[in-house]
Amino acid sequence: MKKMLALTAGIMMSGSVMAAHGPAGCGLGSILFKGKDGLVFNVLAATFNGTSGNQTFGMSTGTLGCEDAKTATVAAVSFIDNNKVALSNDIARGEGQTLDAYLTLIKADTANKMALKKNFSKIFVKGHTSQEIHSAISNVIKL
Amino acid sequence: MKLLLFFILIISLPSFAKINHDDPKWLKLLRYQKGLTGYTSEVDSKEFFFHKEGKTNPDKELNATLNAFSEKENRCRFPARAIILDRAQNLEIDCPEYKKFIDKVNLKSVSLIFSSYFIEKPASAFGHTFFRLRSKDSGKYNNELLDYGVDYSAQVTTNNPLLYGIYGIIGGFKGNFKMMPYYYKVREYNDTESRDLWDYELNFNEDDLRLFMAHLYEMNQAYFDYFYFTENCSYHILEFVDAIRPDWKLMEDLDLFVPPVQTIYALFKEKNIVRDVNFRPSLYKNIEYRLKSLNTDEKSTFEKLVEDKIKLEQTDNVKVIDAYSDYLDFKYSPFFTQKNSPEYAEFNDKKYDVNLKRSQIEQESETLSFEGEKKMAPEKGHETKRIRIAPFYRDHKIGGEFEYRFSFHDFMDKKAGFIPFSSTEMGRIETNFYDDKFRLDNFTVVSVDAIRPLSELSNSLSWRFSFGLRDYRPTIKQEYAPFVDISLGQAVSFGNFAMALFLRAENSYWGTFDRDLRIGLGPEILVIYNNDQWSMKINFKRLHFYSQLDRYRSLLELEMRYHVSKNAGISVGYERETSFDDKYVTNFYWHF
Repeated sequence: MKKMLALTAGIMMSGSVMAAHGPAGCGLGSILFKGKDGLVFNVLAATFNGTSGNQTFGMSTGTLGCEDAKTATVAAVSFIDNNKVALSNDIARGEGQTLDAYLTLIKADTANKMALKKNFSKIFVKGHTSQEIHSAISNVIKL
Repeated sequence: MKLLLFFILIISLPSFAKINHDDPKWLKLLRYQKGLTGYTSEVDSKEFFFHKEGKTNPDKELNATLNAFSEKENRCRFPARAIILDRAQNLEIDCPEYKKFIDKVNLKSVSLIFSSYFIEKPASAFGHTFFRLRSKDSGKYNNELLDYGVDYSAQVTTNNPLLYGIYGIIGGFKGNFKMMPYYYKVREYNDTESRDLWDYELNFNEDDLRLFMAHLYEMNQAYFDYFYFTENCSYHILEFVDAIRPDWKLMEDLDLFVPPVQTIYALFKEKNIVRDVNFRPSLYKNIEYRLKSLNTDEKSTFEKLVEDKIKLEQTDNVKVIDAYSDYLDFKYSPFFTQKNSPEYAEFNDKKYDVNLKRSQIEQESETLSFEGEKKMAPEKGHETKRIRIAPFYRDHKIGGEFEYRFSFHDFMDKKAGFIPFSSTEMGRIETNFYDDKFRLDNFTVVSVDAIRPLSELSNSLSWRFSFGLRDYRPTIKQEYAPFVDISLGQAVSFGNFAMALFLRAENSYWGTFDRDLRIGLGPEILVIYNNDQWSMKINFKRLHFYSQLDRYRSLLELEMRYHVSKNAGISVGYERETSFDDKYVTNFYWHF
C-alpha cells in the first residue's frame, strides 16, 4: 500500500523533480555529481540528495563507513585528513575545537597549543601528507 | 538454602516474557505497519526475521524469536528484542562483539540533528536529519567532533543520473543506517555544503539509551527499500526514535510526504521530548558574522585583500585576517571534494599564506556568538500545508477564491525558520467562484523563488521558476494549458527589504491555436518586505507575447499580510492586469 502511494506520489512529483532545485532533500547528492554541470545534473543531484551515502568521504586512509574515530594512530591521521583546513586554522590561531579534538584523540589534552602555533611553518609544510603533519605535531609536543 | 539456590537459578537464566504480538514496543521495533491486509514490516532484508513469514506476521515472528532466543548467539544479534522481551538480561556481559560496540560509543546522549536550508545551495531546500551520538568523554571535554553520527541513506548503485532519479522515487535503492565519526557530518554539511546544524538533544533516560544502542546494533542487519518522498532519511530517523519511545507518539500526525522539518515539529509537540537545542554555524554563517564585526576601515582592508589589491603583509589586524581566512574557506568550499582541481590547489596556497601570517600574531581571535540565531530556529517555523480563502471584488461583483497548497513555504509566509525571501512550493491548487461559475484557476506543480541578494560573499543570480497547468482564458470558456515560467535576474537586500529585477519568460503549450507554443518575454520587478509580523510584496511584470495574438500583457500585484499567529495570517491585495478590471482581495491563510 505504502509503495503504491509512494509510487503515485513519485509519479505526481517526478515533474517537480526534473524542474526545480528547490524541493530537494538530504545528503550529499551534490557531491556525488560533482564536476558535472548543467541543469539536469544539478537538479538530480539536488533532488536525490538523500539517496547518496558517504562514499565520497572514503579518503586516503580508508576511512569509509564506520571508521573508528577514537583509537589508534590511523584514526589520528585520518582525522587530519578529514579536518586539515580546520586544524590548520586552529593551530594558526592557537585555539579551537578541531585542535582540541585532535589533541584528545592523541591523548595530549594538556599539550602547549602556543608551541604548536609558533611552529606552524614546521607543521604545515606545503605538499606534506597527513601522516607527515601528524609526525610534525608529535615532534613539537614531544609525544 | 535450596530454595535460595533455586531462586538464584531462576533469575540468572534468561527467561523471556511473553508479550503480545500487538504490543507497540514489538511492532515498532520491527517496523510493522498496519495496512488493509494486516501487518507488514518496512524492513526488506530476510536476515532481520526468524520466521519466513516474519515480514507480514508479527505473531509468528514473536514466537520464532522466543524460540531462537534459547541460543545466545541469536540474542546477541538482536539485543533490542532481547531487552524488550526480557529486561533483566545483561547482554553487555554475554555478547563480546556487542559490548565492544557499546564501549566504543560510550553513549551519554542522543541528538537529532537538522541540517538546515541554505539559499546559496538550493539543493538543501528541504533540510536533512540524522543522529549525533554524544559520548561520555566528549561531554567532558566538549569534543563533539569525536562523537559519532548515524544517518539513514540509500546505497547508490548507479552513476546514471536518470536511473538514479527513477530508483530514488520507486524504491530501487536499498537504504540503511550508517555510523561514522561525527566530524564527517560536520565537514559534509557545515563546510562542504555550508548548512547550519541544529542539534536537538533528546530527553532519553538510561533505559532509553540502552535500548537505542541495542536497536542501532540490530538495525545493522536491516535494510529498507528507499523511497525519496515517503520512506526517506527523516522518516526513518524519526521512526527510530519512535521505536525507542512509543509513548512520545511522534509518528501519529506525520503525513505520507515527509519534509524533514515536519519531523522536527513532531519533537516539539510535547515539551519533554527535546532537552536542549544547540546551533553549529556553517562556513557561511561564520564569515557573515565575522564581517558584521568589522568596522568601516577594517571592512575596506578586508575587501582589498579579497580583491588582491593589498598583500597580507600590509595588515596586522587580527579581525581582518580572521575574516579573510574564513572567507577563503567559504569561497572555496565547492572545491573541497575536488582535491585535484586547480581551484583546490589555489585555495591550499592562499590558506597556507594566511594561516602562516596568522600564526605569527599572538593576539587571540574574537569569539563569535550565534545566540541570536535561535530566534529563527527551524522549529519556530509554520506548518507546511496551507489553505487560503479569499473573497474579492472585481467589476462590481463579489467573488471568492479557494487555494490549497500541499507544501512548503513562500516568501510571504511568516519567515521564522525558513530562508529569507525564498519560496519552495509544491502542489498548489487555486480555484475561484465568480459570476455564478466555479472554476479551477491553476494547478502549480512546483514553484520556487530563489531570491539571492548580492553581497560581499555572493553574486549568484536570483531566479523564479514554476510549472503546472493554468486556465488561460478565465473570462471566456475554460482552456487549460501546461506552462513553464522562468525569471532570471539580480537582487539586492537591505535588512528586511529585498528588491529584484528579472527577465521573465512565460511559456505555455496550447493545443488549440495555430501556434501551439506561446512564449511571453519581458521585464519583472519584485519588492519584498518581511518582518516578524508583516510581509509585503509588489510584483510588476510586462510581457510581450509571440503568437498569432501578438500583444502585451502587464500585471501589477500588491499584497500586504499580517501574521496573526505562527500558522494564521490575513492580507489585503490589489491586482491590475491588462484587459481586466481592478481586483481587490482579502485573504485568510491557515497553515496546518
